[in-house]
Amino acid sequence: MNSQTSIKARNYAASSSLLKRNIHKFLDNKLALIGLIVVVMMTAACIIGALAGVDYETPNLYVMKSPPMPGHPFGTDTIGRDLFARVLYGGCFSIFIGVFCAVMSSAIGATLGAVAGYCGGWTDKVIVRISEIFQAFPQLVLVMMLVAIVNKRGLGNLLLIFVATGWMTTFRMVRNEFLSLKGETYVKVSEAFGMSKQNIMFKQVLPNVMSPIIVSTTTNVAFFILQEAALSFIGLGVADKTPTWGNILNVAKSVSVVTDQWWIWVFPGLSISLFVLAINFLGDGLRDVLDPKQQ
Amino acid sequence: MSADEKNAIIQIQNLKTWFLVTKGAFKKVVGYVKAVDGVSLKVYKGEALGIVGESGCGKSTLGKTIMLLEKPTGGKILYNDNGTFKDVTQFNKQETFAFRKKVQMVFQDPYSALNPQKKIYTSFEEPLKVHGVKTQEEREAAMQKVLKMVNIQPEYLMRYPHQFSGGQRQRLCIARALVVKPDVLICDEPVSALDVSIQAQVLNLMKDIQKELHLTYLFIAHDLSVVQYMSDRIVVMYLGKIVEIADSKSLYDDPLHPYTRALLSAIPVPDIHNHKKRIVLEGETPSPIRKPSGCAFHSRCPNRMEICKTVDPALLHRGQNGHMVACHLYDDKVEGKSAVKMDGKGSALEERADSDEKY
Amino acid sequence: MDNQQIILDVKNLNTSFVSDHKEVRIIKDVSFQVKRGTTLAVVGESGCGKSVTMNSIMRFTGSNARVQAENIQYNALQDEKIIEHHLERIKKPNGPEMRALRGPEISMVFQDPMSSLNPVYKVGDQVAEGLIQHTGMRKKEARKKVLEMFCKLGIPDPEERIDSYPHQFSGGMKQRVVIAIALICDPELIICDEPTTALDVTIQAQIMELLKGLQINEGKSIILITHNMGLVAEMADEVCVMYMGRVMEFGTLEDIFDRTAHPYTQALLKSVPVLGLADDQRLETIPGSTPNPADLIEGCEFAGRCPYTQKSCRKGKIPAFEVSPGHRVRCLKYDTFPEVD
Repeated sequence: MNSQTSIKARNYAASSSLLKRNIHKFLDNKLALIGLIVVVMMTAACIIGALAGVDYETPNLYVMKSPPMPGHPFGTDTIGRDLFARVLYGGCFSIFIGVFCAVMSSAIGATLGAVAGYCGGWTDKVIVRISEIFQAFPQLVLVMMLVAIVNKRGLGNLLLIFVATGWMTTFRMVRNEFLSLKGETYVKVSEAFGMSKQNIMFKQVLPNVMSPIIVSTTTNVAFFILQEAALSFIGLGVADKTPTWGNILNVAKSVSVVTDQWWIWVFPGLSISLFVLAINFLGDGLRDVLDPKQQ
Repeated sequence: MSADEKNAIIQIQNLKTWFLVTKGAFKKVVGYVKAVDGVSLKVYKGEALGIVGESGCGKSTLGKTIMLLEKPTGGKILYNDNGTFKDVTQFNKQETFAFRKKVQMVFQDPYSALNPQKKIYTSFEEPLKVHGVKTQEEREAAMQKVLKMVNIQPEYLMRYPHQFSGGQRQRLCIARALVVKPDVLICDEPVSALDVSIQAQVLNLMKDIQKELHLTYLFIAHDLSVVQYMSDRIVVMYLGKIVEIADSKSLYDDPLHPYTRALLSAIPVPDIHNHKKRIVLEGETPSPIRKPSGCAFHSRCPNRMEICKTVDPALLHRGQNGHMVACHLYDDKVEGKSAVKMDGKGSALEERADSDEKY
Repeated sequence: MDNQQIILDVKNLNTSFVSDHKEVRIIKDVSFQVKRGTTLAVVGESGCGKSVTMNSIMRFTGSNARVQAENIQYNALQDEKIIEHHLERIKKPNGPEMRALRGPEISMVFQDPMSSLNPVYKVGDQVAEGLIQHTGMRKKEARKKVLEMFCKLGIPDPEERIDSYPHQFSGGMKQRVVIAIALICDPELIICDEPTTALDVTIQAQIMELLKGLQINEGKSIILITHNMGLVAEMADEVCVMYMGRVMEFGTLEDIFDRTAHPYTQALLKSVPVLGLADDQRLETIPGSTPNPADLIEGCEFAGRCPYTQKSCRKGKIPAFEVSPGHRVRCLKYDTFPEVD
């Protein structure tokens, strides 16, 4: 036996990988695969559109309220801006809001959940109380408050509020998982080896909670996109200048648009629904693949 | 320091581990679970000390307390560090960390003792990294050494825990505990989660390893026959207290405490011609929250006397070879000892009373 | 032997489970008989199919299981007359025919007393449930019967305990309540699936005394599923040793312990630590580990771990041989003896 090369290097090829198996399992799940493809394609289209610099803001007064036609595949809006460009460009913002808020709130929730669940005692009590206080605030009121305070509707505000009010579900889930995983023997083993708290929390236990975190992050993306759309629709979202799927829908508040210019609300609405549906399929698929109970 | 003390590696003095029992929204303390309640004990270098008892007797808590996984409520755990005894319970962070290298533990459930998300290699590497084995070569040399002891090929290190059977996993767990070269190994029910046909493999392996490395074992189990097979001396616990300590042969040949006798007789023996008479204890083990007064065993004891209800018997030397028992039956001053009539052992008892005087 | 003596006759029972579009055979051609008023011990390691066998007979298997048998015959004794029930012909696993048998004729005691009882009902009501279901007895009468049963099973202060909830009971007491549920309809055959594995040895001794008493004093027939050879030696009249879903050896207690024939049984008996071993005496080990039931093994399932394996052991179907009347061994070492199916 050649003792010069390490065991790790020698057997790396032979090692089986959980990841490989999970990818295979995921590819078997047709619905999740479709979800993934739709999500990737829509995101790519939006980004490419934005990078290509489609013109989303110059009003063309000659073709106001025009139904879909060559040159304007989705038609134009009430002041003659190209809807296709707006949906693409707005998609970037909507998806960014969804992904950013989901990832940030998961990161905060997971960190706090890990600390609260593992440390227990006073630390746990304090963090849980804080999360309950946050949960007691109605999101809408918080948005209006912040808008009133800074006197400006902006992307930053929205992100801040979404993250601040959105981390509790992940927090609770991670905390509960930690409470039960804390009793697992391998945690005791790590303690018996004198490993540090941070090491045990984040290197030993957290990988075992990753699957539910990934799943909930995915579904949270959909949740935040819907939230943004809802807030923008009532005019409390991002500033009007920035197109988001919700902001584009905003014009559908007028009855005449709803009845006469269907294309103005159908296309952004469809984009939201399709994207959210695809994300949810993806989330369900990930849940099936990553659920340790099914392995 | 006496020779006896020199040979001891761990001395436990009046160790207590109590858990609070709280009630209601305001966490009012309504009582204590006295899991370990005043245990004193010496563990000698290189011996296998068995700790046996039924569920709730505090044997696992005792092991975890020595391992500093539970915080003791009172008492001392003295560890013999090259000739000087240091109180483990007073250790600071650094000393505790160093102590983790000296004393290691094998847990009951091999299925949850290995992190399911990590390759075995990582599970072995991390403790070595933490304990300052810097280069990969050194770490792998250490791993190879322990894996050889448990007959597992080094190639298997790159696999995940779910790819191993229960017996293999427990062997891996033993190897991992040994990888930091401890002096003492605490084994908490290491075979009770395994199949009967696998148990023997693991037990024999553990015996061989002990001989090879001159380890000190603390072997905790509920199954007296397993403990007897593994240990040189046996400690019998009941409701947080030690009721009897003896070397494993005398415990089997000549058990003194009524509880030990009942425990021995309750174990079903796979022998159809040698049916022994069974002592069936009445009632159940009382809850450790509401321990009976006096001797904790008196509520179930077939030989109980008046004094047992009020006075807790001390653990005293009775008989040869350090045989200790906590029972009023062997106390000369107690009246009404004629009550002892167990399996015709009355005469043996008198002899024992004689030898007591020599102590 | 006639139907008067045999209470349960199982012939060529096969159970397979379907998972991931694959059919895995768990129970393979299991045959055994239980004599009236005796205890049959079914021994084996975890995964050998001993519990699945009993669940197949009682039809407690899930919807992904397929149970087939040549014969599962239960002989009820009613007013000196034998009524034959053919369990394999009953179509619906939870239909009226099966339900009529469970309780008054055959009943089961499960391993874990903690999860066998419903935590939100009083134990007395849970025990009475069976009586009210099967005999249509009124609540008051049922309560009286339950009290009698509690007294018989040695549950202290039955008057008080009958109105307690399960969490107020200790493990051993809970198991007594579970046994009370099993016994309340006065069944002839009691199947005990590892009844004491979750309990302490001193409590195990109490429960075993209780079961032995039921068999001797009331003539009940008992099937005891266990992995503990010690319990077998104390409790059983006949023993059925199972490995990987097959009956490896079947015989009387003396056959199994004194004239142990199958290498697996021999290994099993030698590898258990026994009290009072000499200091330098070592346990014998069975090499290897239990194979996965999903792996198809040709020939003898134990061949991979057996010290006497020959080429012929790994081919075809290994029949059972009758080495002495009633003592059947599934091993080619005994191929000079007459073959039985």
